[in-house]
Amino acid sequence: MDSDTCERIISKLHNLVSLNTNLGDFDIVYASGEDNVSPVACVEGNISIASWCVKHVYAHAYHSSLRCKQKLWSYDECESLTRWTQFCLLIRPEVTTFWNLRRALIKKGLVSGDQELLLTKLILSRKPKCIEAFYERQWLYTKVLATSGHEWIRQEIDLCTWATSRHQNNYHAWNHRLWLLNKLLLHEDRNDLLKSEFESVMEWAEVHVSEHSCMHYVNQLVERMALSSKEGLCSLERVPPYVSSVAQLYEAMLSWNQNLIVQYPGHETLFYARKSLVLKFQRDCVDTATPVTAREHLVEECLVSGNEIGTQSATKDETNSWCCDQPAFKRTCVENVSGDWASLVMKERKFAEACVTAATSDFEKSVAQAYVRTVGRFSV
Amino acid sequence: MADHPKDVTITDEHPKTLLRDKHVEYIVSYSKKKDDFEYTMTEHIRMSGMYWGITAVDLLGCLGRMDHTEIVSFIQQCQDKTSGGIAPSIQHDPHMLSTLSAVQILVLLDSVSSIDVEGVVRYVSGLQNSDGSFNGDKWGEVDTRFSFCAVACLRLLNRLDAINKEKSVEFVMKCSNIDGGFGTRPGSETHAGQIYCCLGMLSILGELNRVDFDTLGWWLCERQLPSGGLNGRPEKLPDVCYSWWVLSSLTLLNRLHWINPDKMRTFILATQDPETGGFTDRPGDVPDLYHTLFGLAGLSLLGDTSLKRINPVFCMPQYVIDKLNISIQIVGDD
Repeated sequence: MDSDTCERIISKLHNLVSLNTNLGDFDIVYASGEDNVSPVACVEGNISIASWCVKHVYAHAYHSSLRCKQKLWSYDECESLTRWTQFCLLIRPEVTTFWNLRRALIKKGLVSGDQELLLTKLILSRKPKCIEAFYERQWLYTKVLATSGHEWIRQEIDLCTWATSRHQNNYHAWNHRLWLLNKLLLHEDRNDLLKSEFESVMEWAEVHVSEHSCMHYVNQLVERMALSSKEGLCSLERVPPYVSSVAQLYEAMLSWNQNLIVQYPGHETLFYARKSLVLKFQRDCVDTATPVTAREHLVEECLVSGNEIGTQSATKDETNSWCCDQPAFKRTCVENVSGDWASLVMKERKFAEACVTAATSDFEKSVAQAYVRTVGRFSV
Repeated sequence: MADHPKDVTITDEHPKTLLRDKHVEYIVSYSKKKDDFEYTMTEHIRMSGMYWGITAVDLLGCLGRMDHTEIVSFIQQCQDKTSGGIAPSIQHDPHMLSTLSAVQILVLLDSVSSIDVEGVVRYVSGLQNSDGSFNGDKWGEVDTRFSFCAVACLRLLNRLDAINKEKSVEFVMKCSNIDGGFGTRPGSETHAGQIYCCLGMLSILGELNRVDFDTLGWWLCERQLPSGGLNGRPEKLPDVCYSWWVLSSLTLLNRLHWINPDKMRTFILATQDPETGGFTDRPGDVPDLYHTLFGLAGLSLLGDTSLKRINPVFCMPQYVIDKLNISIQIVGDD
């Protein structure tokens, strides 16, 4: 393919990206190139490029960008460089050198910050866990764009929700949201922002119970709310779940988590989240906190020999009381534990064993048994 | 064992023995392909790719099959005269990741003096921030991976004096979580790859005692799935690269025996491509250099004597680390 054809394809793509304010997705679609149609198409804001031309056009844009990088660019070359790097990054966003060129263009005022936000969003539509695109946005918000109000935080949180819905356990999207949470907590409207963030993330979590990254974020949010309230930065009474102490905050979360475990058995994530909540409760709310002790012999016993500890001790009665009278069980599980680590551990043990008994498949059982082993390691 | 929704099945069709010769051919021929599209598409990770290939070939006892002169000359051309950092390929920008890969290769080939060592030291130490963290390059991204790269690189060059070690440790500890693991930044989710980086860095600096061995060891061995493979986080699929990140971490914690080694070995062997050679992420996928090194490195950690012994921190053959007289900390050894 000659370089003029490559340039035409690159320009067409560039024009579509620049003219469209309402961009949807970008992707490479399979096409052999035998039919005589343009390889670049746009349908309802979604842009595609035909697979047959990608190889040739990418090589052209790639080598042109690198050649251009070696010297001081003239204005014309800057325009070409903007198009080439855009093309390359849409295809291969992992190439740091091209992001660096973009940043140099932005610093010279030749590419606008808003244009770059559009490009990164298009890239995320195709590769929702692209760390480079998330970092570019952080760089833009830190160094280029004005971030005085809080609209940008809300918009960016929406982007995270969108990206996390497109890829399971999207580490970098949740990390990006954590970066936003740090900004949010410094904001003067933090009570309002926290309220909407808490509500939106809990709603999402309840329908994504296998999302460990999400539950980690939920627990981070809770931990930061606890810390902020201690520092007088936020008021727990004014943000959900509307409680009056850090201990009550953890209790409310444990209760929420327990409802999910009962409703959706067999999800490792929920038990991992529970373990973190219990350990954070111990760290932040128990006066005479005892560290989790080393019980290596026990660990070896249950892991190496496959011997599952504690699974035999759940009695029929306990199981029934949990299954038939769930709210009562829940109350006894979480309400009387403030400052009483030993009783919390005891309740956790009963709960874990009840989960094993209630399991309706081997897999559900193995997940609950893992939590029995985890609780077995909590020191009393 | 119960059917696991996020695991793979290993059948009789999958390889059961180590296909040594196939792997050597796979790596050597990969390093000779230079004209195709694939080469352009992977040029931004060329330096790491070379490190994966050359280390893997050395573990297989065939280091002589690689063209040493060509490799060293390539690295020389990748060093940036101004910053001192090393780029992943010619005409690309220097970065912490490619700088460590280049130093690892040069140490392996006993050719460190062929580059401007002071330049590398200047580059790496210049990327440390006041809170002790490290940037990946001059654009400022922070990640605990870069803390490992910086410390490992400077230890190999015997120049740890160039950074603030105490602050480095302080930052990495801020990235630890209640489950005992580590994430990319303070508050980030625990990830087996980051655990390796943080433990490796603490081991080099002799600061492993700051870690809760049992809590972390427990989390790590829970990564083993019924197939024997390891995932890097809960609810993720197994991937052969975690046979390195998790096994090396457990080795540093002196708790490698907490996983089932036979099942682990079966899983790693099943990820070999019996036709082309090389290892894949999961049985039946397409092989690459990255998974090939970490598959072999995992087998070496498990004690496969047909491979050279690997160092659990530097991911380089142990004899190379011994020659430099570098010792690492392992829990229970001191």
